[in-house]
Amino acid sequence: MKINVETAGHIKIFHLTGRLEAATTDVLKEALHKEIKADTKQFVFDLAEVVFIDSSGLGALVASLRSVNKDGGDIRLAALSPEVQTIFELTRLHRLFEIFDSSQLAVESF
Amino acid sequence: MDRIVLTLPIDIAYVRVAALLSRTLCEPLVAAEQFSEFAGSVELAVSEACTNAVKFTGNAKGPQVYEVAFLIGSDRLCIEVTDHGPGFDLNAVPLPDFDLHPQGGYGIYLILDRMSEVSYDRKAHGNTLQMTKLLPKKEPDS
Repeated sequence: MKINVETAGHIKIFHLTGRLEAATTDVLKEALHKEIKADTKQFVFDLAEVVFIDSSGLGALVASLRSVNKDGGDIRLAALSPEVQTIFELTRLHRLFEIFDSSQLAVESF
Repeated sequence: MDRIVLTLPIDIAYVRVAALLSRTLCEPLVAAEQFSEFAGSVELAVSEACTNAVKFTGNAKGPQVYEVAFLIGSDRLCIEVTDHGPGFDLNAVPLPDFDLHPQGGYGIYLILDRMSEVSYDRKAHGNTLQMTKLLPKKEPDS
């Protein structure tokens, strides 16, 4: 999985590409850790190019949110494909995250 | 039934090999408009089952491999994941507490939701999680 990081003011947008699964969650963890160390508190994760997510990937997203919440920050999600949206709804995680149709809308929500 | 068997090392990096193969095997089985849901369900279930096989076999004493067998029938796709770890009681796996939004514990729930039939068998030679997805019924030609 690749992550392209974009800056929108004080918000970091992570554009995730590929598979979010057990073998790739460390990529997300390291990218997030780097930004948290740099004092970023507000994030948008754009999942438009995430082709697959399983429960390990979901776990990484939940862990990321909890980590950022501890410092008073937030992670908002954007552009979930129908397949990914289905997994969020099955696990009720669509109630934990704020989810937007686009990263622009997610950024504007902060 | 046609049978395709993978033997994979206990290494999380190779879980996607089984998951992606499962997706490919779905292609000739269902119509284009049904593919996304069918293959997505199968790929997810295979990823969950294989991830568990790796996670729970890694420190066990048995062989450091697990097998994924794909059995293609006329009305179903059956996947058997056999590991050599300690095994578990499928009926004792609790539902995740959705109100608490836990970080983990969704794997078996997702397999049970996405697949038509799921069973688990513990034998001396290994533990096998068998997952079956029934093919959608074909519409009769008008």
